[in-house]
Amino acid sequence: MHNVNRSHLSDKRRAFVPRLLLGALLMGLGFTVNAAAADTAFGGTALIKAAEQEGKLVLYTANQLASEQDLVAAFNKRFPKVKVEIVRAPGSRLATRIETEVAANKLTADVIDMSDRGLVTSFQDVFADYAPPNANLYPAKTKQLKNLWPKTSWGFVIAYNVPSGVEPPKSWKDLVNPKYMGKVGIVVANSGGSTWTRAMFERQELGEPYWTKLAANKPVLYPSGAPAASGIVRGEVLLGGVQSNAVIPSIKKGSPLKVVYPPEGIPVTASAAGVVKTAAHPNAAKLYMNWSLSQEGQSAWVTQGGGFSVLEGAPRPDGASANTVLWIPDSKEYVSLRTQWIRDWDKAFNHK
Amino acid sequence: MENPSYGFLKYGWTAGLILILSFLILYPVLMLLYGSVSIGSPVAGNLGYDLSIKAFLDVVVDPSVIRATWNTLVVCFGGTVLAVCVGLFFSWVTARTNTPLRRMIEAVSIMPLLIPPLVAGIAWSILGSPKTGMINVFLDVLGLDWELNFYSSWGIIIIFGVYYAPYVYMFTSSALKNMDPALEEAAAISGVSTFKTVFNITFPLIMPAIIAGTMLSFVVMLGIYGIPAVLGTPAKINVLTTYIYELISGAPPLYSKAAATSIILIAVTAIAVMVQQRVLKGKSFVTVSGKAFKPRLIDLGKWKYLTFCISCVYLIVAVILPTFALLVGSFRNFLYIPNIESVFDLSAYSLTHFTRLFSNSLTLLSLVNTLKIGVITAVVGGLISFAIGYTVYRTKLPLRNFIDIVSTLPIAIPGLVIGIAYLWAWISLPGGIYGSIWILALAFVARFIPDTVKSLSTSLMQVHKELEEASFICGHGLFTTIRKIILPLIAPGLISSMSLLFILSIRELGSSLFLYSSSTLPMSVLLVNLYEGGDIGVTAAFSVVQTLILVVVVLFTTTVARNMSITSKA
Repeated sequence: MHNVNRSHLSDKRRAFVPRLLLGALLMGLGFTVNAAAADTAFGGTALIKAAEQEGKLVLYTANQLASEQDLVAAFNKRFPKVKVEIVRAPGSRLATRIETEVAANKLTADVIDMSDRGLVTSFQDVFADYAPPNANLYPAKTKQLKNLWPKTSWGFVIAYNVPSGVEPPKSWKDLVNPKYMGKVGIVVANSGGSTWTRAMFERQELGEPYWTKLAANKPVLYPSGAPAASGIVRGEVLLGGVQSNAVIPSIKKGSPLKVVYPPEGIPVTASAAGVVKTAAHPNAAKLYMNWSLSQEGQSAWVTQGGGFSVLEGAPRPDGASANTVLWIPDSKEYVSLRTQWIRDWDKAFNHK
Repeated sequence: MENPSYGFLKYGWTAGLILILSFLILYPVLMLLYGSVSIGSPVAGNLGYDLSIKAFLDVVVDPSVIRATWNTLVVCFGGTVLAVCVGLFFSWVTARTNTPLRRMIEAVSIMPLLIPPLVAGIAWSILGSPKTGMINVFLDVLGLDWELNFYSSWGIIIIFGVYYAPYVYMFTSSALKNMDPALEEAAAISGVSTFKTVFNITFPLIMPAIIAGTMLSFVVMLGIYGIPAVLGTPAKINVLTTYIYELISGAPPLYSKAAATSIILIAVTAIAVMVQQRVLKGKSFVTVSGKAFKPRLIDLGKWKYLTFCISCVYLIVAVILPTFALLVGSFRNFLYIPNIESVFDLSAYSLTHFTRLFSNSLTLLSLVNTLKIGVITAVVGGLISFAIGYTVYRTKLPLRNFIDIVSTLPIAIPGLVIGIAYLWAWISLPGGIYGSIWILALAFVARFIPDTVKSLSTSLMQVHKELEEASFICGHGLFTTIRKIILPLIAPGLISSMSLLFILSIRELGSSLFLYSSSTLPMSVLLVNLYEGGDIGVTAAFSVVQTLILVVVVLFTTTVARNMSITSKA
C-alpha cells in the first residue's frame, strides 16, 4: 500500500515530512499531513495522553548507557512529560536478572530491549501482544520472535587509526593480509551476541579458513568492545572490527579514527525489544516503543548514535552508502551453531 | 566470658551470630551450590527438582579450567609474595622508624586500595601496554631499547603485589603501633643489630597479623577480575575469574558451570583459613598488656634516606604514575599518544569529559546512593564484624572456629558470582527490600565481613586477657567491659575497619550488578556502564572523582583514628 501512496508525493516533500507521511499512510489518509497524523505515527492521541498521565516508564536495556540516554533525550524532546528510567546491563546479565525477577514475581520493567536474540527465548512469555504502527516496514527476518522488535541494531565495521599512518584496509579479507601482522585488534567471539554474529558472518561469508588465516596474523584479543575501540584510539593496535556505534560518535568529537564499510557486508545484530505484560506503565511503554521504532526514533539512533537500522527507508551512518550490505544472521542458525562454533573459534585463536 | 554469671549468654550469643551469618553468607552460598547443580534460576519459593551434576563433572575434566586454575595460582602466589614484602616494609617504616615524612608515606601507602581493580587495570594498560604505553614512549625518548610489557603474567603479579600490599600493611601497621617494645629494647641493650631485631623479634611478634594479611591478600587476589581482564586477555592469560566472566557472558549464561568453577575458589579459601587456624593454634600474640608503654622509634641513621627513597619509588609506581595516567585520560580529549611531545600539547586537553560526566543526571544520583550505602554498610558491618571478631578471637565459645570459617567464605567467591547468589537468595525477601538501597548494603556487609573481621582481629588479639579479668574482678559486666575496656583499646582498629568497609563499598561492583534498580544505581555500576560503553575519557573522569571522594574519607578517618590511638595518648 505504501508504495502506491508514495508515488503521489514528490521526493522533496518526502524528505521534509517522513514521519508525518508514515502516520498518514498507516491511517490510509493519503496526503493529509497534520499534527494528528504525526501523533498517529506514535500510536494516536489517546495513547499519548494516557502515557503522559503515567508520567514514566522503566526500561531494561542491553544497549550502551550513553547511547540509550541520547535516545531518551530525543524522545523527551517530543514527549517531555514521559520520563524514562534506565536499568542497563549486558545481555546475559540482564537475561539472568529478568528470569529471576519473573520467577519471584518482581519484574519492574515496562520495556525490555535485549541485545541478544538467543537469550530472549527463556522468558518470551513475559511480553505483551504488541506491534508498532509501522510494523510492515521491518524485514521478516527480524520479526521471527513474536511481539519482539528490532528497536536497536548494532553493526560491525572496520576502524583504523589515522595519524599512525597505517594503510587503510578496504575489506574484511584485508585483515588477514600479512602487512597487518600484529596490528589488528579483535573482540573475542564469546563476548556477546554481536561478536558472535560477527564470527558467524566471517565463517559463513568469508569462508571457512578465514578464522585460521586471521589467527595466523597474530591479532590482539580484547575481552569486549570497549577496550578494543580504545586500543585502536590509543594506537595499541591500528585497526580492527568494532561496532559502528562505539566509534562514530567519538569520531564526530574528533577521535583520530576512520571507519571503513567493507564491501562483503556489515554483520548486524538486531535487538529484541518488547512491552512487558505486567508493565506498571503500559501506555508509556507502548509510546516509547512506538517512537523508538518510528522513522524519527530510528533516525536518531543512526545519526546521533552511529548505529544501523533495519527499518525500510531509515538513514545509514555517516559515510555508509545506500549500497552497503547489511548481513542479518538466520535466527535458527544463530542459536543452533553457537556453542560449537564458539568452541571452534576459541580453538582457532588459541583463546582460553 | 569465663565469668560464670554470663554462662547463659553463651549459647544465645553463638546461636544469634550463626543465625546472622547463615542469612548473610551460608544461605547465599547454599543457593550458589544449588545453582551449580540445577538447571535454570534457583529462586526461593520456586525451587525445581531439575538437578544435574554435569556442571561439576565438566569443570573437573575441562583443560581450560585446569589451565586457568594454574595461571590463577601463579599470579596470586607471586602477587602475594610481593604484597607481603611491600606491605611489611611500609608498616615497619611508618610505624617504627624515623624515616622522614613517614606520616605522608603512611597516608599515601594505602591509596592503591582506593582504586577499583578495573580502574587500576585501565591505568596500567595506558602506562604499560607494550607498544604505546606511556612508559614505553618515555623509554623511547631516553633512547633506551627496553620495552616494558604489562600484558603478561609478570605485569599482573606486579600490579597485584602493588595494589594488595595495603591489605598486609593495614594489618601489620596497627600491630606494630600497639606493640609492647620491651623485647626489642632488651635486644637493643644486648647489642643485637636492628636488622636482626626486626627479623628475630619484631616480625615474629606480629606473626598473626602477617599471616592474616598474607592470607587475606591471597584470597582477595583469587577473586579479582578487573586487573587480569585488562592485562591478561591481550596476552591470552586466562585466570579463573576471567574464565567465569566468559561463562556468564555467553548465551545462555552458564551459571551452573560458573558456580561450579567458583567452588574451586571457595575450597582454596577454606583450606587457607584452616591452615591459618592450625598455624596460630596455641600461640600467644599478646603485645598489649596492662603495662603502660610507648613503642620506640628506631633511629636508622643515614639509612633513613634509603628507606625514604624506596618509599618514594613505591609511591611513584603505586600512586603517582597511575593517577597521572588517569588524569591524562580524563583531561585529554583522546588517548592517542604517539610521542612524548604530544603529552605536553595543551590543546589536546579540555574539561569535556568532566562536563559530560556531570551533565549526566545519573552521576549525581549514583553519588548520593553510594554515600548512603557506604554509611549503612560501615556502621552495620562494623558492628557485626566486631561481634564476630570478639567471639572468634577473645572468647572460648563453642563453634567459634566454625564462625571463623563461615565469616571468611565470601571473600573467595568472585564478585560476579556472589552477586547472582544474593539475587537468588534475597529477591523474595518481604518488605520491599529488593530494589531498595538496603539490599545493596546487606550484600556489601555480607561480602566484606571477612575483610572487616580480619582487619579487626589484629587489634583484638593483642589486648591481654588480664585487662578484661581486672574489669570482671571489679564487678563490671561483660558489656560494660567491652564498652569501657575493649572498645576504647581497639577503637583505632574499629574506626579503620569501618573506613575500610566504606572504601570497599564505594568500590564494590560484583555484588551490585544484579541488585541495583533504576533509582538505586551506585557509582561502581555507572562506572562500569561508562567503561562498557567504550568511553575511556568519561570513565577516567569518573574514576578521578571516585578516587577524590575516597581520599577525603581516608584522610578524615586516619585523623580520627590517630587521635584515638593509645600510642598517641600514652
